[in-house]
Amino acid sequence: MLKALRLRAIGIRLSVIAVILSFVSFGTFIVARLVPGDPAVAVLGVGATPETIRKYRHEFGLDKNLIVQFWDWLTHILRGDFGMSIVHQGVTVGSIIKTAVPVDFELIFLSQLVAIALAIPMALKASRRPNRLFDRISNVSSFVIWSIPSYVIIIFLLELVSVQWNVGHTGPGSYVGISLSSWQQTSQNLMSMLIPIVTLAIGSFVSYFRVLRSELIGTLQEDFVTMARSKGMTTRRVMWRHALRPSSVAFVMTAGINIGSLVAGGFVVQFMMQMPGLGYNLVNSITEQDYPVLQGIAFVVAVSIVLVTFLADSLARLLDPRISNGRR
Amino acid sequence: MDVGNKSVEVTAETVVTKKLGPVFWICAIWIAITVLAAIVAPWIGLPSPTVVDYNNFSMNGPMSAAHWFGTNDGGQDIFARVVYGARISLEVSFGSMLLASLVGGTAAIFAAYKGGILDTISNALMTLILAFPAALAVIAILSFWMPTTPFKLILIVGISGIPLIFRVVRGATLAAARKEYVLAAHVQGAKTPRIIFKEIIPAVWPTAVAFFILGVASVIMLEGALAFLGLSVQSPAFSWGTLLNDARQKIYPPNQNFNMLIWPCLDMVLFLVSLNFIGDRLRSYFDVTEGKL
Amino acid sequence: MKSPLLVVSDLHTTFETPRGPLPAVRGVSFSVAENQTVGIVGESGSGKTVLARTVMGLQPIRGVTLSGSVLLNGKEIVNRPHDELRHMWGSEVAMIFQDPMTSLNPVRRIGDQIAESLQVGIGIKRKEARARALELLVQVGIPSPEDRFDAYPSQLSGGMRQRVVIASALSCNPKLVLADEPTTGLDVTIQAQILDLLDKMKAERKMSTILVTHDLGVVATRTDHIYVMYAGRIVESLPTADLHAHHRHPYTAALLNSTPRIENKSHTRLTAIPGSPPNLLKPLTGCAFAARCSFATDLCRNQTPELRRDGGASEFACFNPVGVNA
Ligand SMILES: Nc1ncnc2c1ncn2[C@@H]1O[C@H](COP(=O)(O)OP(=O)(O)O)[C@@H](O)[C@H]1O
Ligand code: SF4
Ligand SMILES: [Mg+2]
Repeated sequence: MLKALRLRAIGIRLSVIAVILSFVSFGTFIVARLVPGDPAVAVLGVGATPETIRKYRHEFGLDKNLIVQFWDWLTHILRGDFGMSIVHQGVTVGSIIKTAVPVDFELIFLSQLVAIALAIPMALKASRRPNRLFDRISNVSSFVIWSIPSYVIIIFLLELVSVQWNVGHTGPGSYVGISLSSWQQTSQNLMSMLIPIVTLAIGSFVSYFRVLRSELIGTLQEDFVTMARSKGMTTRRVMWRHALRPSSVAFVMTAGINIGSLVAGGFVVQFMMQMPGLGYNLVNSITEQDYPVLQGIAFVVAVSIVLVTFLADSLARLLDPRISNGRR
Repeated sequence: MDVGNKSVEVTAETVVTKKLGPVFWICAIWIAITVLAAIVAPWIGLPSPTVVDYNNFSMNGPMSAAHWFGTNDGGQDIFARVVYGARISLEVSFGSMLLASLVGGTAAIFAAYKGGILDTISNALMTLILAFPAALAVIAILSFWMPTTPFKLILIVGISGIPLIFRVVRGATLAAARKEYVLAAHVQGAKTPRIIFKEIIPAVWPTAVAFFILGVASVIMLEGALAFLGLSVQSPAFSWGTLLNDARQKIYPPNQNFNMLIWPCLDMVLFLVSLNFIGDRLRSYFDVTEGKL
Repeated sequence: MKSPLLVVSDLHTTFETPRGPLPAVRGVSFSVAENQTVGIVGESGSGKTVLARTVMGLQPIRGVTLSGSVLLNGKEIVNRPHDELRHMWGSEVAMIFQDPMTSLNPVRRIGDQIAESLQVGIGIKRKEARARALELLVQVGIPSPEDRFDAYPSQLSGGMRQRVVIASALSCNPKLVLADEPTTGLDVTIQAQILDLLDKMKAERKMSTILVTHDLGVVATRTDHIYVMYAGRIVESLPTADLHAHHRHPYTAALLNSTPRIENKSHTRLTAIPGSPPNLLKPLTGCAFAARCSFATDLCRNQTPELRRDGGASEFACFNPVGVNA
């Protein structure tokens, strides 16, 4: 019976997601269309005759009514067809997305890995003795770092790493894709990821550290922690096995928010580093008024955010049964 | 639950001090100095930030008594540019947050106070909008509405900030409206405007102020990001963001003028740290957590 | 004669608070023999929990000043680092906490929690530990223990959780168990069941027990000896058999008066004594109970009464004791 209930709960959540997704995709479509400017004019130039503009609009289906356009677009997307760029001749939106997604994936995965790997042990250490030296220092410095915009961090990292130390393949535009066959290319890929990863990791680290620290301080006051200690467990075991998991719900939610916002929000970093990820292409498509690209990427971004949120939520439920039992 | 055993256990290790502390005031003073300097900049005998000093011309000049932070690649005084650059950054950030707070805050108070379908719908709408990255919308609109002016920035960024303020203020209003003294005022037949002005607003404003300050900081950061995309104010106007973007291009050989980079960075980051610190302190001082929204 | 299992002498626990030192335990001495059950009873805030935790050695090192001595099996506990005490915790002395709602880890299955105590405490392998944990669940009377083994605490009732807490605390066969208000917050019938369970476990395992409570009704029938605590001190120490007829301290009398009838095991609270305990942040002169005592004299207000005996079984700290000794 429990199993059935759980399945039903998952079913409900999935259908909620489907509803959200359809709203979100319609939203991105509409927003992309409401943006001022005429793509036909943008592509053909201001000097184009009304006749060529009309032909162009007809060719790309821009003269049909919005709902029909949306329906066309959606049914195509569901078949994996995102359409063609209207700025770059013969380039499909799908191919842009296909090359962009791995960049984001690698960037997000590695930066979050670094941030989390640092944040967990530091938060454990800081929370054990709140307001003592280590806690204060890490708290204050995380606060200062939190206030430094990512572009400032990038500028200084670029100056230090690529210019002063002259480390190769770390500057803007040095991105190369990962390769399974060529170790050299892969190492170049990692070098080109170095600065953006460090930059994004710094930003995320602060949020992980702050959330986990304050949750842990709360958890460590709980009776079950004292109980665990009173059964003779080592501090290490108490921290990792007893205190960490009950404190991790907010942490997992933060991860969801961080990752979700990096899918599109990493655009400043991608733009400055000239990395062809989703954010970079999104900004380009905006400035070039390339609707199909803009819509396609916005759709992918929106879907990713919804999925990441769903995954974070599911993971939180797995980690803390209190959520599903409605006692929290 | 158990009256016989309600001793409050204060653990010796975590005593929450409800004090703002000296750092708070240092930050507040720093903010005051920066804002004041930006306001009175034209009248305090600063070198001109735009006009080149030909009497004592130096391009990429070093720090000196005449030019405290040195001069940039156009021979302009960097100190003056930093002080003046704050003007647009501050105008835009305070202006847009004011707009967002007035519109979003007022709407939120009414929606939350009236409740019902209006509140449900507007809250759902705002939550949905919040799911989209606001910065992208700002970029999209700005890129179709060049050239950027401070006014456009205030308008667009301000509108994009409405949903967040709405959610925050709505949460605080709901919490306040549930308080006993508000219910009591209701029962005693006080009129709605009276309750809103006498009971709700005094209870809500600390929250709003804390988020206002944090919002100002994030708009300053956003303005910088826009500058890097070339979407902030256009030359000859300049802000902290455009100063940084200029400097980024000038720290490489042959110019290598680090004064252009360090000083705007330092000023901006110190200001951001102060704002964030104050906002965060106020938030915990008034005990507002996002979890309660 | 064998020396007692636990000997506490002149124990002081003082918290350093932002508003000055707070002496929560002020010179407590008592002892517990093997196989004995003693009760520590007093109003809320009288320092029972602090005393129990100090006896365990669980107080944080920082912000707390300890003095005096706690000898468990001849080994000193006071001011020893947690790392050294850890080896005694669980296997020689264990604690049952007040609130079963909060003393189990909410995100771990109960069977795993008990098994973990066994793995850590006796060093047995996981598989064996799980088998023994299941046995323990049977012993503490959890119905269909196989099913409950994988349950989370939030899926159990308060009484069931306290049974799990007991199973977990007793898993490594401690010689001494400190139960800090083990039944507060439970239904009256469940309370009796839990106390019966503790009695049963104690008899089976030949442990000594310290039962801490604010409810005289609980200690009156289930202990061998009672210590009455007030404002961080023991004000009366007497065999349980003498409680009703031969108590001497006015505070004990007041507690008894505020307990409707002992036969009536209802969950009685000691709030009926007028006034409230003294603020420990302020220096105390004279008898701490003087402000609430109907027998108080000038002597009481100026001089601190020490524990003494006048021929009977009871030791009491009072200048004008009630009753006559037998
Ligand atoms: N960690 C602590 N820091 C400061 N004071 C404390 C701490 N723990 C307990 N106290 C104080 O010690 C006194 C005794 O508390 P407690 O032992 O919990 O009483 P009881 O268990 O008898 O109800 C109370 O006044 C309480 O406020
Ligand atoms: S010493 Fe005095 S005040 Fe204290 S209990 Fe005895 S009679 Fe009462
Ligand atoms: Mg207690």
